[in-house]
Amino acid sequence: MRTRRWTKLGGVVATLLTTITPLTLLTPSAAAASIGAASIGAAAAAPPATSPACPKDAKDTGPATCLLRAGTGGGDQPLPRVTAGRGPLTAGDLQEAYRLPSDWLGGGQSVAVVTPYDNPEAGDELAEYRKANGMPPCDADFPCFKKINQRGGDTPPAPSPAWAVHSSVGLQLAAAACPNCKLLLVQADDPSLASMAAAVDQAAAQGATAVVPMWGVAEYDGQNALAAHFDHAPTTVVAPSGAGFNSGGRQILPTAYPSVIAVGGTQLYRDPATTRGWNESAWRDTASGCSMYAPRPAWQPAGACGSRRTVADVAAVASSDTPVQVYSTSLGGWGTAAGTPVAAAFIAGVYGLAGTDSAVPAGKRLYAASPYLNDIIAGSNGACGGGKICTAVRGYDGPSGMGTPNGTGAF
Amino acid sequence: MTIHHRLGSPRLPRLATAGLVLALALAAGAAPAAAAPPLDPTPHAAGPATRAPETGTSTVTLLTGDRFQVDIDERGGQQVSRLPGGGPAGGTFSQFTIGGDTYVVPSEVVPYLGKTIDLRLFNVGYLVRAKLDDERSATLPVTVRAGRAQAEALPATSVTAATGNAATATVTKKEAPALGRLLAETWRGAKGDAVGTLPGIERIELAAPKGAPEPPPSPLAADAPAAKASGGELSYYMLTVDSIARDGTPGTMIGAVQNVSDGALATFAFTYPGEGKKSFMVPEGTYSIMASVLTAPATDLTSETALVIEPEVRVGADTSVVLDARKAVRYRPTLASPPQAPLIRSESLSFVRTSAAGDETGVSPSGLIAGFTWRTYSDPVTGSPDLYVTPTRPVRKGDFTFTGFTLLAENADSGPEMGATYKLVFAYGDAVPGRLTPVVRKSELAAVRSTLYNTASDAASPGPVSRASFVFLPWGWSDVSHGFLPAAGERVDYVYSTRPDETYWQHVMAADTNEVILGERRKLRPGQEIREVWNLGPRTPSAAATYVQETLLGVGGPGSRVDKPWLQVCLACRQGSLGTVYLNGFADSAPLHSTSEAYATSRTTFYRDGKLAFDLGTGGYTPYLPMPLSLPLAPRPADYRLVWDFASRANSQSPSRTEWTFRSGPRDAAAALPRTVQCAESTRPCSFLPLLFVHWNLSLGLDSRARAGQPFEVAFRVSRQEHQARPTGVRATVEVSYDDGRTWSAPKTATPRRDGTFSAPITHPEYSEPVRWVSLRVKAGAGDGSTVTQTNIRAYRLAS
Repeated sequence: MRTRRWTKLGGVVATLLTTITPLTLLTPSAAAASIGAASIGAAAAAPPATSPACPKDAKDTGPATCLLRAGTGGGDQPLPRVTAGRGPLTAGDLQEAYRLPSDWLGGGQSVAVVTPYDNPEAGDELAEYRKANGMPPCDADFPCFKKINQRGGDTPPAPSPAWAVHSSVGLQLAAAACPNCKLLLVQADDPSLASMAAAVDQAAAQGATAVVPMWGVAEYDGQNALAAHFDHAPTTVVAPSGAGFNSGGRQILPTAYPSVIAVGGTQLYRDPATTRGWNESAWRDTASGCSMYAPRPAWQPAGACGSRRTVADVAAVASSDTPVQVYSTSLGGWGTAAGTPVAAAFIAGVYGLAGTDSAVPAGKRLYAASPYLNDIIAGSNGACGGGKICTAVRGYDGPSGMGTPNGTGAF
Repeated sequence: MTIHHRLGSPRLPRLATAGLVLALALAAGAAPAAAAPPLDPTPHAAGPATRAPETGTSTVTLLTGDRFQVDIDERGGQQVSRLPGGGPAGGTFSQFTIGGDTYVVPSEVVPYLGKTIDLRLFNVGYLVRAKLDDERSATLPVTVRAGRAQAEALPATSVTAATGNAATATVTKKEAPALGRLLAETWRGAKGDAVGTLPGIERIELAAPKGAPEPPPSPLAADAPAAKASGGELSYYMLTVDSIARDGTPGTMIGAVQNVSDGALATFAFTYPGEGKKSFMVPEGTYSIMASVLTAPATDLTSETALVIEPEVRVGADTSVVLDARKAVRYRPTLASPPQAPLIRSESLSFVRTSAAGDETGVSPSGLIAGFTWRTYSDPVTGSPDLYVTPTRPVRKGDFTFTGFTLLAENADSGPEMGATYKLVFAYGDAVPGRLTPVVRKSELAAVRSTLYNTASDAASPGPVSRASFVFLPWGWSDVSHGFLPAAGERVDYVYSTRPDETYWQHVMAADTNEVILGERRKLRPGQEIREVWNLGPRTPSAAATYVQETLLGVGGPGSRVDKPWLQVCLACRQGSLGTVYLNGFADSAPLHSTSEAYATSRTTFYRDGKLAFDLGTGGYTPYLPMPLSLPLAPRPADYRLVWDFASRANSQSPSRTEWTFRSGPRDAAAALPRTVQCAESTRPCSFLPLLFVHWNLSLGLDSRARAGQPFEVAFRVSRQEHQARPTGVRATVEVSYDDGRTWSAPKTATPRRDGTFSAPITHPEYSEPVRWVSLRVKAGAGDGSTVTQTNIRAYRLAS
């Protein structure tokens, strides 16, 4: 666990005593109590605060790194818009901010979301989200939702309410970018990298245009043995970049694999004072850094990491200060979500929307398509001596990669 | 361990206790005291004043080729005179002295400072200390932030190594005038933003040679660590750390990796209960790698451990480091003349690595829990009786301190059977020495003989809670433990420090009521013997000047930094029309003792020329963080009355009332304060408010009882606040009450005694249930007209 700055010795103690941060899934009642007035629809208040949305008990988390954050407060009704476009961001907001022709493209494409364990409510939650955001329902006329296990079968793995928000968020953010895409939920047996790899293989076998695992596992010596499971061109594998700059002195998987599009997080809010109409900067808690074991792909510029892979490649909104709106039974209905899995799921949707059938690797296309990306030039996610590996600058940088979608041209 | 909270700063706002607990748990803690201290009377090892000066005459050639003669006297004073020849400045220089060092800046360099050229290259005092004078070096070592080709293109510059956009190089002094001319010519030809820049060169910095002292920081902020200042990109490499345990098997590590330029760049941990080989991606730089290497995870109490420290490991490529615990030496101090009684031993090691940016990693002297976590704490309970640590060399970047604490107690380490204790502090300082088995001679010990009293009570006393000590070193403080549940009565404790001239001790007693009584902070010399009396008699306001920096303990380490333990603030002083009075928690028979007491009741009122001027209601005293009373004084001489009623929560049956009267004016003489004492507003002088203090000096039994039906001397001391001259012309009377203050005896004149105290004889009545408590009142006045009336209800009890 990376400590941002230790100015006191006790910080060492705290860190020494840390193995993996216990992660708490907010119960609706607890969250409602904690967010207080913010949830009562006060027009001038900030969006509900988010908390880690993973199992509370480390043994239930397994090897996973919890990246998703969620907040509650809406109940049966979508959360009201708060101060001047600060969210929670709806599908329409995202499509506008990233100039996505979501009404027109994506037909015939499919996006796969990979999560551990079963979420029996995933389909109903997706339906609620689509309805509230004006998307066509997934029904017999438009069978746009399917759920399978990592072997392709219908028998779901064991349910896990603690993980359920991941599938809710993944499906809904992919739909936000690409309402016309079919959505495939591949539920892995557990949070291990091996199960994730099998689920990604299954998603590719099912013909997904893009696939996004919603969690990560810390890099380890020998990780290259599983690298091929995340290289399925023309299926594009995208993944959340992680949480924090150089967290723990290493990156997470699968995002560190060179074949994977690593998606960082930004802070996004409506700003009429800008030409774009939106203000976007690198999120302070997004991830970036050098892979410990993965080589640098040819299309990525050499920088601080030398011959090693640099995370991230691209970015989208993920800030807990500007969260997105989601619907999940685990959140008691409407709530908010943040974290780089939000961004990754959205980018997976953008890949579905673009529907590019190119033999050129997705990464290579991305790095050559700067005109179709919003270059993020503000914000930092850590201390790196002022370098671009942790500081958003013109051109490529670690926290936001090449930037955020400006249409679908880069995807 | 005693935990008490006192003043953080005279003007710091009160901290919420809950927040404090959280802060301690997360090790945030209170900030260092904000008050500007007076001149430090105890020089520390930071400034040139403490360095052994390189006396003599040297010649220094600067980066520009300009040559100077530098004369350094015995006190480190530096005289600089220009020598002929050299650079193009034509005799135009700027010269100034900062931090004891003289800088000479040729005019052609001025536009480059703060941008392209490191000002430290012109610190002639440091260049001599670093052996970079002409007598000992023909070149100047520099780091050129540029590509290798650009660096080599500079006149007089030879690149010895290059990585990325930084080149390690030397400037040949003989050829340096060419570099000076380049600077001058480039300046002349530059316009706008180009002024002060060299094409293709980002920066030229001083590179301290190996073995040279760390250069003092540049006075210019722009000369801060290069990577930050330049915005340059640091390269990242894999740092792999493995370990070998003392038994030769693969080790398990608990510890940290810290970038010694700035821990914010990279600080990582080996987490409890221990980890094996581990890799991190870290930016290029120098790292301190510190870990306790265990033979098994720390949850196995039989595992053997050794602290292994590699304080400076350079990472400029993928790097592997093996922490070899087999190189560790045993820490085992002993007494040359141990007592006959068996000694119970408890030991701990403290090490703190401080980066150049100031962040710290390690186990602070008071980091008890951190010590358990790192396994640098050893006593019979931990199952790890022996401590081992690897020797180190002094660090070149940042700071490092190492301290060993050995606590020995005769017979038992707590309880009534505990005999004398020995608190031995080995303040090794900037390195871990090769031998850690010192032998302490009896003549090196200071003896603290103390008498511990129980509080007067109807019930049988459970006895004192503790008699502990704080020790303050230049780099941290610790609560040197032992002394829990000692027996009331006489005892002796010994203390020792390898640095007696830099070590302050403060002894502490937690009474049977859990009131924590604090003593003075003072140095104790080898062979010195002092006597202390604790918890004798009822409480009266302390006369001690308040310590600015409080000792604040927490589970994760020190909640407060105490680097000026001697620094005090005037107890009751006047500045302009403001009187600042610290209602310093209560003393026992020792006027300079104080306590941290929660109160059952407290009320403070202040009168000016007979009229109520200020009423603090019940909030006049805040335990733990006493804020000064800000008393509104008249801009002319006036008469004042200050009244403080107080009853502590721990002993609410024995309230105290103190009523002061005094006269003060804006033209009162300035207080002659030692350099270690500041006025509340430290930048202006202040005058004393002439308060008188009464402290009882009663001949009571260990349970604070006196014999009924017998003559008794009511003895007491009348004094001024600490650092103020003793009062003259003092007269005093004593009144006694046996019905808790409802009725009082006629005032009886007290007579002065040879030892400066006063005494009035009384005769106790026979014991009876209604007449078992004695209340006392003293009315005292000094020759200047100031008075004090001190009343203590249930001051002591009569024995049945």
